[in-house]
Parts: sequence; C-alpha cells; structure tokens
Amino acid sequence: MTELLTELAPSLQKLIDARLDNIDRALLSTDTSRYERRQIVSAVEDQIQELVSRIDKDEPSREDILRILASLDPPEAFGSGSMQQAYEPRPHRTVTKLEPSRSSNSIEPKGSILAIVSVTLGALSFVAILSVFVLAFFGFALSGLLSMAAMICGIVALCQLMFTGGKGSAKAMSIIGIASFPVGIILMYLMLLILEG
Amino acid sequence: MCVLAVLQDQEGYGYEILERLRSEADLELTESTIYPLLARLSKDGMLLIRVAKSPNGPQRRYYRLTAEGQRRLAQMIQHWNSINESVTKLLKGRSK
Repeated sequence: MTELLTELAPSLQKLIDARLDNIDRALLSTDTSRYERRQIVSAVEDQIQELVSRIDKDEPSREDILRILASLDPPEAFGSGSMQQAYEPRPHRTVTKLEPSRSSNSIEPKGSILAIVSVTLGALSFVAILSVFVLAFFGFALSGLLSMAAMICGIVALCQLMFTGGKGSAKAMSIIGIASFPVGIILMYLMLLILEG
Repeated sequence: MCVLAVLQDQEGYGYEILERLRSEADLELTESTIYPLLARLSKDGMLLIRVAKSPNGPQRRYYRLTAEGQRRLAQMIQHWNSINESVTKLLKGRSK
C-alpha cells in the first residue's frame, strides 16, 4: 500500500496509510470480499496519488495532504453497504426486506444505556419507599440512595446524549431518572407523615 | 449502468470515471459509491483492469468493458428505456 508514494515524507505517507487502513477496516465490517477490498483501497490510493500529482509544488505539505484527505469520503462511508443496494438488481413487485445497516450510524448513541439505567434506578427507588413498612428507616436510606444514583446517571446520560444526538426516548428516560430524586424526596416526606400519623 | 455507460466507448481510470460522471451526467457520486461498484463489476467479469503509469507519475488503474459487460449494459439500457417510456406515459396521462 505504501511503496508507490515513496517521494512523500514518511509523516505524510503515514497520514495516507492511516486513511487507507481505516477504509479497509470499514470494508471489513461489511460482506465485501478480500479481492474487492484490495481493489477499492487501491483505487482510493490511486486517487490520492492523482490529486497529489496535481499539486503545483515539488514537495506537498502536510496541509496539502490533509486537504486532499478531507476532500474524500470518510472511511465509514465505505462500510455503509450503499453500493450493495445500488448495484444488485431487485425483483419486481416484491418488497425487499433490507438488512439493518451495520454502519456506525446504527450504533446506539453513547448515553442510551445510561438513560435506561437511570430510569430503572428511579423506578427501584419508588419501590424501595414501600419497603419502609418492612425495613423501617433503612427503606428510606435505600430509596434515597437509589434515587440519587438515578439522578446522577440521568444527568450524565443527558449530557452524553446532547453531544451524540441521541434519540428522544433516551432523553426522556434520562429526564425521568433525574426527576425521580425530587419526586422520591416528596414521596418519602409523605410516607413519613403517614407513618407518624 | 452509468458506470458501464461511461466506459462504453473508451477505457478510463477510477478518478476519471468519477469526474466524468460528475461533469457529463451531473451525478453527485463519490468514491465510496463508485470504487466499490468498479470492484464488484470487475469481480463479476464485466470490467477488465489494466494498471499503468500516468504521464504525471502516479499509477492508474484503467477499467474497460468486457464482452459480458457490453451485454449487461445493453440489457440495462433496454430496461431503462422501457421504464422511462412507462413513466413518461404515466406522467403525460396525469398532466392531461
């Protein structure tokens, strides 16, 4: 992959190699055969060489290489499987069930799992309030700890989802988790009143 | 079909094919679509690859249609024409 651009400085060559390796990795995550992967990566390498040869300088700079790499599709675009859908003929009058995409877009956004943990802890904290009839004040402590953990998880999840552009349902779960702390405090106060009464 | 059509009369290298699709057909296609297609077409025996050095220095991977590729292109053009005709008829009928 590297022998053809020997005139480039090693640091610049490294940048290009890293991009080509990332494309290869993206293709590995699809059903692309070894032959096709080799062809695709070589074609991209040829294009990079072509663009480098069009630069009106004896020695291309790091900025030139970065500009060329930025003008190309990101490596993930090669792993989206869009070619498969575009190339393969589909039968007429039948509904083609597409396999779920294995691209990075389909990966659950960071924070979604934490949002589920948050809402679960919030629900458990409400259940724990009822345990005061069995565990007395230990039930309050348990509920308080659970609702506090739910709130912390909810805040962290919400922050992560803001950055990663998570789904609305995950954000809603985080908010429910956060709200479980003040709601839990109110419920504990009411429970105390009932127990005193 | 567009890729095969670009190579119908003359061979071309990857980046050139991409540029021709953009300039001649106004198709906003990128390398992540075209290069996997070229690889698949060559694997399926519709394209032949020839590697040669360009006048500028870097090597180029030239693609050209095989007999199978020519046949496939003719089929695709026929299919495209029939679809185009049907859709045009439908749209004309609606506009009346």
